[in-house]
Amino acid sequence: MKYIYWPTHLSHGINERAVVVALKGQETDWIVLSLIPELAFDHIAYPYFRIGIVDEFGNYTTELKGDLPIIEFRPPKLNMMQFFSIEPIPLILPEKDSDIANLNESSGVILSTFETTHCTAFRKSVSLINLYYKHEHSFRLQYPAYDGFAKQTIIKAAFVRSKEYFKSTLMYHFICHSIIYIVVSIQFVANGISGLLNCSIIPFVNLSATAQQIDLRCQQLCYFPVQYLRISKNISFNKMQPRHKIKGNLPANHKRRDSVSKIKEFPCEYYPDYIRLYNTLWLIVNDICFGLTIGTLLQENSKAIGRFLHNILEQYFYKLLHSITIFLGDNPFGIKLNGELAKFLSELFLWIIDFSYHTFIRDIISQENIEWLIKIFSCSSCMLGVTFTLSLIADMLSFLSMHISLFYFISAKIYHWQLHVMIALFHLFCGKKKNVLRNRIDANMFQLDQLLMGTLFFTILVFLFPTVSVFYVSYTLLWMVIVILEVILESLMASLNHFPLFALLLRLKDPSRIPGGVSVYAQKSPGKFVLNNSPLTVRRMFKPYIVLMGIMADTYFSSTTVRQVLVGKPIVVRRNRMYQVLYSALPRKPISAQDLWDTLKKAMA
Amino acid sequence: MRHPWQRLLWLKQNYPDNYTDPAFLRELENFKKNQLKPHITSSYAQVAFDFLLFYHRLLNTALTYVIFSLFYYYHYDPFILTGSLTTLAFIIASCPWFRTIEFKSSLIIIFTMLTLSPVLKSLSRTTSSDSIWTLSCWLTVFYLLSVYLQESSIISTNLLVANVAVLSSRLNSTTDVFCFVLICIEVNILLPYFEHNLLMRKLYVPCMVSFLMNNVVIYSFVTYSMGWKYTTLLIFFTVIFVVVLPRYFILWQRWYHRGDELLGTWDAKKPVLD
Amino acid sequence: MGYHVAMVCDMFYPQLGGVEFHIYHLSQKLINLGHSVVVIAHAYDDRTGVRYLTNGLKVYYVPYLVLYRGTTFPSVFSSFPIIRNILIREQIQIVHSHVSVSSLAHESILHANTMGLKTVFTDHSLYGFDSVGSILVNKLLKFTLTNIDAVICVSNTCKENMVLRADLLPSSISVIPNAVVSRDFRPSSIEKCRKSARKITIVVICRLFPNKGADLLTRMIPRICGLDEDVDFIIAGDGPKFVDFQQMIETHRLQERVQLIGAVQHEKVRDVMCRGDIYLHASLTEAFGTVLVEAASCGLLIVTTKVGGIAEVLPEHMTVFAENTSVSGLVNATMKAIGLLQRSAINTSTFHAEVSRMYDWINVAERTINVYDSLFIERSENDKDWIVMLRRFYERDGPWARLLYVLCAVVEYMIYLLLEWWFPRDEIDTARKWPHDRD
Repeated sequence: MKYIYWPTHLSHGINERAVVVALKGQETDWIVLSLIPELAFDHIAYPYFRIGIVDEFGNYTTELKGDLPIIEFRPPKLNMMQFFSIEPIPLILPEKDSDIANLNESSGVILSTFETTHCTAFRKSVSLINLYYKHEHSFRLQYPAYDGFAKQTIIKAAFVRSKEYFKSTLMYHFICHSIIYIVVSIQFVANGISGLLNCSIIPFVNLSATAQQIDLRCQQLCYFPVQYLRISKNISFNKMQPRHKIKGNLPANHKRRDSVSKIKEFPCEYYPDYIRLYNTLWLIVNDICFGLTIGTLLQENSKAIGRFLHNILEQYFYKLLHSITIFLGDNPFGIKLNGELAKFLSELFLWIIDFSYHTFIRDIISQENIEWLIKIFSCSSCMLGVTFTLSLIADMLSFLSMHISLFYFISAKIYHWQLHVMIALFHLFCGKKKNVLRNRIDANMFQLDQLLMGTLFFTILVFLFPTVSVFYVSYTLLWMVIVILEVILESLMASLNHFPLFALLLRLKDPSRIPGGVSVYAQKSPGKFVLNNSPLTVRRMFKPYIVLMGIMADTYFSSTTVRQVLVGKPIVVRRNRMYQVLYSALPRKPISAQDLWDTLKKAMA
Repeated sequence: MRHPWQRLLWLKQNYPDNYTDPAFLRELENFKKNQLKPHITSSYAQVAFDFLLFYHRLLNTALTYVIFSLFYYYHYDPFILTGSLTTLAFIIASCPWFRTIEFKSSLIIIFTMLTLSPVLKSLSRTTSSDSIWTLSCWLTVFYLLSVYLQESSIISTNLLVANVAVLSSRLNSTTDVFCFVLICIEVNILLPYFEHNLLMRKLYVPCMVSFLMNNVVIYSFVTYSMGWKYTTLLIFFTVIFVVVLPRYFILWQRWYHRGDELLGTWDAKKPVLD
Repeated sequence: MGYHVAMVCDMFYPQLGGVEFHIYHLSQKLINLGHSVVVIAHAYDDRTGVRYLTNGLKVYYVPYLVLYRGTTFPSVFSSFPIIRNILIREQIQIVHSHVSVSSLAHESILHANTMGLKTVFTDHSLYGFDSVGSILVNKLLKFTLTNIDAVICVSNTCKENMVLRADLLPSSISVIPNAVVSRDFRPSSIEKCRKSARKITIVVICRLFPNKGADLLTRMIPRICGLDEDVDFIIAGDGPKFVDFQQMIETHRLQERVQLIGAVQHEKVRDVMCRGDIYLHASLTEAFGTVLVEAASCGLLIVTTKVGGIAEVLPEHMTVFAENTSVSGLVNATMKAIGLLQRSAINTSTFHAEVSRMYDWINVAERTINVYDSLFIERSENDKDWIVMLRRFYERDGPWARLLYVLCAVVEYMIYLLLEWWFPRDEIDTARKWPHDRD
């Protein structure tokens, strides 16, 4: 089944009989290029065909076999970067797409199962439609007789000539070279920093949010030149003429394939890159704008904020903890705990609190130091953007709450150990023991002395269990509060760093620049359809975020987490695994300086 | 002429589905007749002996409280009692007939208890005494139940140790705790084990000795601490338990027992693991 | 015009087991014979409400409080409204309950009697008299079977057990055995290509529970393996004794010879059976032993303990009985069977045809219909009179139990009157029956 694709601007405003000329490549459908008055029509050659006649009233009579359905479409304007795409265009890099798909199993294969011959034909036709104006243009160049105004404007020609002249001067070469040197050296430094932060011995990226932020910026810096090159190559390609005109001496079949296939590739491939590059740039600018505002606010109110923070931090990181620990050591809520153990644990934790308070917390949260820190924050915010400040705050928070995490890990360890021993001893009472090799519970006979020892230990552990678990529960809750604070800060950072702002605005301004697929509607008259562009859905734009939310919910609020907490296994957050979803606009491995150098050289030559 | 009925399901027979095996009808008649007659009962001596054994176990358990009171109320010096009992236990244990525990492992147990006794002492210190008495009472009840319901000694040992641990938090010193735990284990775990062994070998005289000793200790303690009135009461209940209750049991068995070998036909067969 | 029958049991599809298959096949055959059958079971997870199975077999999954896997919470009266509604809606004449541990079955017998319907009860298993659990079940059975019209048991042993448990007249109990779908248990069509004539494979398919003789099996398998080098085992099934089997294999190093394949789906049972030559059954109690018939139908020689109703199930030439439930008894019987096969002294290829003549669901259904017929012929009018039934309850059991029985019955009658007033009979729509074209 074939179709005729009919551009909307050719369907009205005709007042004489005209021949319909259409383009057709291998396996594609007919795409109507032009209506030539019947009198003026002479002949046309491959790949153009005469497919019918339109009379004065706009009624179309076909000259093809069979009554083919007509699909109307509005040709995408290439210079406006509009195009059709069957699949939603990727806002993330294709190589990262699989990562996300792995993490989020629900996003499966959409189209590949329907990949039939018919579908390929449709795909190829859409490629032709995307280049509609280009083909129309080359048609006019080839048959100037049918068209009166196929010549370049003088101003444009003069512009091109002056540009070519400029390119030949020495000055131009000097500027180009120096730019290349600067770019490559910046890239080299950024690459080095990023490598250092990601090094396998101490992965700073896992430890600190600031390191992660620096790493992100470095990777983006490394990737800019590559992205820019891709886009500019595309633009220069855009300037080229369709091939079949230049390579006239090739054998016929070669020529044929070239003529249609060579042009069809570029738009869908490189526009997403364009969107990604400008999205990143815009976000950085945005970030710095916010940074300036926040930085100024901080600077102006540093005294008041300093005082407030000092009180808050003192209250929550020292006094409150102190009183909670003392409270736990002294029969909390009237629960009769084991006095000795409770006292021991409480003293141990009090010692840690005092130690950490006197070594660093006190110094850091003193009035002057806080004000000084706020100054640093505001400066960094003004210069490097608000995300940097946020990351610094997050790091500061985790540094100041180090003793709480320590409490959590210590109590979790003790709790887990005790639970483990109790389970093992419980098996002993049932006359069983765990077979580690087979991972099952075997029956076993125990000696009287073994039984006695086990019973004694079990009884003691049972009586000590409430004490340990009270400590464990309270410190887990405290630690959870801190973790939630950190998560909030980090999600704020993530949204500032990776928000699809540019894409969202594009969608508002010109939805056909971010196609999310095509849709075909039936018209009133039978056999007529309209091809429409459906823009990318907002949900798809935020896909990395949705995946991230899923992972967060999995890490913090799932039944596995609850089980982990019950068993006393510490919950470890692997930050880089979590946020790698958001690095989706960056390649997995930054380009090496050598490669960049070569590419730049080639691009200039 | 009809074929005689056969007790087979696979055979299509010319009998209605609700035909009943005549042999079974005869058995049923016999069974119903037997129901009305008095049943043959177990011998009185056997039943009384079983009651006596249970009574003995009760006394054994009561010894725990006797020792506890001696240490707690009367501040009795624990060394003499523990020393003598432990020596006795060692003598018995090293006797080649009753090699229940290795010498080495018993030493290990003793040293473990020595190390753990401070912990035991502080384990439930903060709990009030009333709660401790209640807890101990319930643990004892469960202990007695578990001794007679459960064949394996694991749960009962566990409950005993829990009871001892609960009680030992009330004692005055770590030494007391250690001695208390040691004596309890000897009296409640080793002694029954030893007696059981003796009974298996039909050595009744040592058993009688230990039984009498038990009685003497309990009654003298009750008299010493609570007076004659309570002792008389206790003796009265003992006599009822050991003499009257077996009688009542036999009476019950004679007139209400429904046991018959016919009823056993449908029980799951006992596997013979030869 | 056929009967309108309601089969009531807690156990039904999607659970799979002997009782479930019994109810299913019996219902199917009754439908084929022109009767209308509905099944009432409790809900399984999201399987609630009305479902249709093959042939228009309508199943009501009643949403109840499910106590533990198979059984519902025993609540005597709370099921009355919905059961009454279903019985009226389907114009039921006969309520046929199954299994004595199913509380739904007991309750609906009580409700159906109150509503004046005929009641039938089928029991599938044996119970002892010495454990607390079985005493409770027996008391309950005595209560609910007071006014039962007919009882069906799967074997003579089961019937005699029932006579004593529920204190019923022997003549009111019919014996109708289970059957098998012999089509599903054909011997393997390919002629068995044994590696050598001596090579024998013994199959065991049972849940690995103590009362299925798991302890006997774990001890006898090493002995047989020691006695004869050419015997292999395939053990299918799961249960608490599974680990014991694993340990047995490991201690005696029988990994090469004993295959432990875990639980097997019902439709795969036949394939497993066809891999063997002898079926070994070490159960310590058994009412009927359907699995024996299935194995014989697959052409296997049966070695079994002689407990419960097993002796009635298969003819002598298909089985080798162990003289008692001891390890040595079973070992002797198994060795005898192995000898028979190795000497080719027995021809197992005729078993399938013989078994398919012996057991057939059509036959079971016809005999069940005979029982139904007898309900309407012999009984007098005031059989379901409340006073008469109340008197029977009173005459039933000991001095305390009888009062409790009467109390329950009176409360039941009151609830019935209340329901008749609150949800009048004529406001309940009758269900349309599944159309059957009988040619």
